[in-house]
Amino acid sequence: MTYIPPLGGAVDFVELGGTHSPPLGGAVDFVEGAGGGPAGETIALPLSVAVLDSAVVISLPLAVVVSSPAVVALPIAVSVVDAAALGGLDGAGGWAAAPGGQWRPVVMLGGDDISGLLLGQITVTHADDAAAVAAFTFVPSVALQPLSLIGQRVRIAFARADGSSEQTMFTGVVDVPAIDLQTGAISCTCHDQAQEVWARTPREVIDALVGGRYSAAVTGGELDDNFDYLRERIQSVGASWALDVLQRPRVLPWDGAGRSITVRTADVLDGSLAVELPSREQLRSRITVRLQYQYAKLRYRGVRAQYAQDIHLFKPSITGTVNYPGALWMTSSMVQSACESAPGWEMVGEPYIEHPPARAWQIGTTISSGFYAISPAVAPTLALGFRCDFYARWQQRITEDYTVAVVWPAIEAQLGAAVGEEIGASLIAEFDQAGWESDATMEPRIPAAIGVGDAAVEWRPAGFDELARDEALRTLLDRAWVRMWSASRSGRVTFELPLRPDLWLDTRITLEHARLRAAGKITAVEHAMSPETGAAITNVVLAVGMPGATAAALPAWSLPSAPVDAYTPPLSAFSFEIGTYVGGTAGAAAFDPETMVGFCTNLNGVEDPGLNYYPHELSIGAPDIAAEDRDPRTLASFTEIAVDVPTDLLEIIA
Amino acid sequence: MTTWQFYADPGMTAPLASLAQQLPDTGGSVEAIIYFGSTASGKTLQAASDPGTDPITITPADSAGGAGLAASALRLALSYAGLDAAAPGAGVSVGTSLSSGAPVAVYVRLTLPATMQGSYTDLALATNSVIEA
Repeated sequence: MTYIPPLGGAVDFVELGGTHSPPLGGAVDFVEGAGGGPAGETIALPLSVAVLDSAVVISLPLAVVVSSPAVVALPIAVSVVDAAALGGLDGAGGWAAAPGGQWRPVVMLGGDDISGLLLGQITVTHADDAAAVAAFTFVPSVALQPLSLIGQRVRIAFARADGSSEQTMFTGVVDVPAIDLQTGAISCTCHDQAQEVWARTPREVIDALVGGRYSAAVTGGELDDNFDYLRERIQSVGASWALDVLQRPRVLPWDGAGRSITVRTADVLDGSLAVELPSREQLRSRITVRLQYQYAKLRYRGVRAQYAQDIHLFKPSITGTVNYPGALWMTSSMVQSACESAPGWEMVGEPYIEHPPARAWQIGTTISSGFYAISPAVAPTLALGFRCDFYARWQQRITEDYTVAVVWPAIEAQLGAAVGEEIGASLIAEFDQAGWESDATMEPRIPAAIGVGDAAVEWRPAGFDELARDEALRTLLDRAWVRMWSASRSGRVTFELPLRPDLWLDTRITLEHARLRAAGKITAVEHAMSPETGAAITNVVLAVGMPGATAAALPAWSLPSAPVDAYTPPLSAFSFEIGTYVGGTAGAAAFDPETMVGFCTNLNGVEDPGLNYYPHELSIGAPDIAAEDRDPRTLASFTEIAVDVPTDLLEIIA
Repeated sequence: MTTWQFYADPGMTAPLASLAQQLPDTGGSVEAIIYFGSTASGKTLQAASDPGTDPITITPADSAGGAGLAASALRLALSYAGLDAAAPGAGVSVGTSLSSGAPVAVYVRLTLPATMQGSYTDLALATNSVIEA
């Protein structure tokens, strides 16, 4: 048969007719052609035809940004200065920056040179751990609104009178402008944006610059502000922070790894030398470091209730001298009830009950004495003994309380007494899994928590683990050492020089003066220029420590071992109290429910009013969890570490 | 026009109108770190020649053609350690696509022989032609 498709590629449908003969066996037959359908039936195929409005336009928005190509350029202003301007000192005297005493200030404000408009004194001050500040006054050449100056960029430099050897001393912005309404002079107070710059400096840059250590436990939590982060981190390093004269973040080691120069008597302006010795009040001979590391100890204890009795307690017996009537039986229901009511403990499975055998015992020595029989139906209701395991889960707060005394023995001997202070931190790992104690399926699981005995896991998640504890402790120890060094550097040597624009906080000066020998890093420097008087002076402040001129490095700390809990629970902590008390006997004491914990029973027979009888019951005394196991536990550790701290040259010459 | 510029600090707080360097007339070297970036949000910078493929470069330029200081006085690198190996006067590639908010640190070393005192402004650092989107 040949199939001829319709014209145009359309689908053709042909109404079927004729007789259809289904294949044998219910198989489906496929018959080529149009004659295979059943007679008289119509096979319909619904067609869904959507007629679209030809006016609809499908569009795809395109965002096109038209950018002009640009070149970003940074001019480089290179000032080649007279090498002699950077030299001098070391007893050379004179004025290296302006040998002829001829100089001029350079002040750039918002890109304009206003050096010729200055009035009065210009000052620039740099100090450790502070923003640089500058102040100047000028009379504007054209009227301007002082408030428009806020935030304008400022650069202040010192140059020789001919403009050569210009040296920048300050870069920053106008902070506060003020106007003298009488003269029109505008005074500007400027700073170097230190706080803003540090706040926007990435932490990895700060980490690289500072080194040292940081622990959120020591700072009382994570810090949002990078400037705060800097100030915390740098406390673990013997260094200060500042921005240099070009506003670049710098960290300045106290032990003077940077520039080092010598200043002698001839270099210092007459009468300007002063010294302030390190004070006893400021000194610290020891810093006590405290770290309280607290976490939850998730505990498991398995205990067992166990009781066994001999059948002879219960069955009557007659001998030649004794006629024992037997005691009332302990029943299986008593055991079940008692086990289900152990306060504070969860039952593990069902109690195992030892039933008496179903049999008969001869009561006396002869058959005629009769038999005591327990039937198969009754035996399961009676209990000779039982065994049942229980467990409890709880959390115990553990505090490892570290006390480390960092001592500088040399200074303590010199002072004759300890002068100390304490620094500390807490690292607390909270456990917030509500319901963990009562739901044994909840995580975290305690390894080996099975059977009788103790098991525990300490909840110390990342950030609160032993590494975090050690980092917090090392951070505190670093800070303690730096704190002692810092306290010893309270001495100040101050002197003035003819203005040295190149002196900055990175410079360590050895002062060899006729009246004083000292060495220390510049901790503050102020340049003051007064064009009207011609005075241009640099005031230098050195931070000096205790005399000795000895170097010492930050110790490599050997951390104290974690304190160990010496408490061991007694065996009684793992077992129940289940005694046996038989009433109706000659020696039976009066019933005391407080002390008579266990199986209480009575001898069979008629009650004798002269004897004490007990309620027929079973109680089990669950073990208590001792305070040492349950209550918050503080494990103390005490250590003392002797250290050396750098000292400086400081010698007063009479 | 682009929002990218050079800054003195990694937080891009202090923009640089120019990079001031100072050397004694006896010669020597001075080093600096500058940061190339943008404080705008959601911006991207690419080379105009073939955006996303060609690198963005920062290259020393000398506008005086040898009358002042030579461009070869400058070495550029993306790390301090790279300065020693950097070719004098050569540019440095800072990537094919830069995102705003994440400045690139460029280490600059200016080395001069004994040079006459004065202020020299013929040197500059310049990018190739870039487009910002």
